[in-house]
Amino acid sequence: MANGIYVALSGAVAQSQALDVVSNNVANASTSGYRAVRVTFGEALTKAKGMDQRFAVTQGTVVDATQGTLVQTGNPLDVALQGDGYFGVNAPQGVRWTRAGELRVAADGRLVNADGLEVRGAGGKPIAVPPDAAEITIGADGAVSAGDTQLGKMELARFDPKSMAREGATLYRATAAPVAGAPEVVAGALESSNINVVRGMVDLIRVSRTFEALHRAIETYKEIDQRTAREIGGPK
Amino acid sequence: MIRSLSTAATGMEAQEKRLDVTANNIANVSTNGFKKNRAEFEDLMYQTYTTPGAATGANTRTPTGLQVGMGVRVVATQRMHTQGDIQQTGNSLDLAIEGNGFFPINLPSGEVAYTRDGAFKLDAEGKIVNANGYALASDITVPANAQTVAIGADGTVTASVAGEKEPVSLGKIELVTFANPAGLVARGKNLLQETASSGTPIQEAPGQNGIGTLAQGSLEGSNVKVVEEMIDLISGQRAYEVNARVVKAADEMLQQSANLR
Repeated sequence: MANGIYVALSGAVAQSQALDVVSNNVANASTSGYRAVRVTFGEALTKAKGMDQRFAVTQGTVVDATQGTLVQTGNPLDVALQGDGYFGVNAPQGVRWTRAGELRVAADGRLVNADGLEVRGAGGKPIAVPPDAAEITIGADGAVSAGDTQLGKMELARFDPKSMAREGATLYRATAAPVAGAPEVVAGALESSNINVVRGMVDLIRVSRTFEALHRAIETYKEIDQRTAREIGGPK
Repeated sequence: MIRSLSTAATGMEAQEKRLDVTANNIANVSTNGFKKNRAEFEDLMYQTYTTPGAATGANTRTPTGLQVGMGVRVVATQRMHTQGDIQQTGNSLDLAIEGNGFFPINLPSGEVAYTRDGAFKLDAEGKIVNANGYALASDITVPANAQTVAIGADGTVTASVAGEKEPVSLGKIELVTFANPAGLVARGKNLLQETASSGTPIQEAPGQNGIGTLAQGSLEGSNVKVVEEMIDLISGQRAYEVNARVVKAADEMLQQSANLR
């Protein structure tokens, strides 16, 4: 049996995982604040009978931190972040970070995101909006004000993109301490997903063609094994 | 690959919902006081194979994790309470609210609903009612001998009656606001109702605390902008198409694997 069939198989498995990542990106083409996932491949080495064999593995997924396009919505409670970074929300499982800025005021006056998680103000405290507040404005530094009264300031932070673990609902969990700097807040706009549909399609073609090529290789190994069995093993 | 099939399906499903929302917005482009809706998306959970920062040795950590997402869902449809265009109609019972308030309307069931549609009329008894015949909660009756009805920016309703020198005061139209107007539930017929997430109605006279003033002889149109909806329609359709391509690619790849034997 030729061992190469397993090398081709490892590549095919890695490519099918890559397809899962590409399909998630494409599915989130309209999710505001979504950041594309890139998959990185690596090799795993085994020494078999003095001969090196390199297997392909998916090494990791990284967050593509490219800025998404800002779309003007005119809603004063929509915020987009310009530049790298996130704003904090208090999720039941602890502090989480996001760029999806579809904010609203809850019935009790707290500023919350689309999932109803409260937006973290200074020191992790919620930002309370009084019921009679006329017009709410959010400044570039994240300061939330009603008229001349400042109600609170959104907690903004920047992280190494590699230390952000995704949790769904456009939330991220930080696995390392924040780095210096903060993004700028643009009110009245939303950051669209940074998925480039063209790139998504190109990724799709590349994944499916590579997968096809690896299948050809598996097919070829299969034929070699078949011929070996037939021509050497069987009677003439 | 089976996962990418279902991931792409979530994408198609979410885009379909967005299209439904857009279609309803476009259908209501001429509805008085209509507020457009917007579908908001969020990604589903992730399958984590390796957490970023997991230890790989005594002093080493993985620089990146390995996480594969499960797709997307529509988390909410948000009603956008921006002001619609105000059109002059000249009809004395057409009222537009310039600000955040709503007109409270008494439903036949005894419940109260809220609307921005200010196209009011009179019923047989002279009561101010909406197009469906539901009375304005402020309960104002215009006498049969009234010649003209004047409604001030602050909501005071007066009528000039034949034989009277001074205009007769008929009452005051009050408005309500909510802490979270986007949390109101739409009931159709241009009516919204209170929910646990909208908060309780705060009643105010027009002009107080940013609740808005009334403009007589005007109507607030729909705040749907056709160009924006068309762009949404195009990008939604394209995104749907791209997700369909992913389904096709995953299907082809599965077929190749199936044909190996």
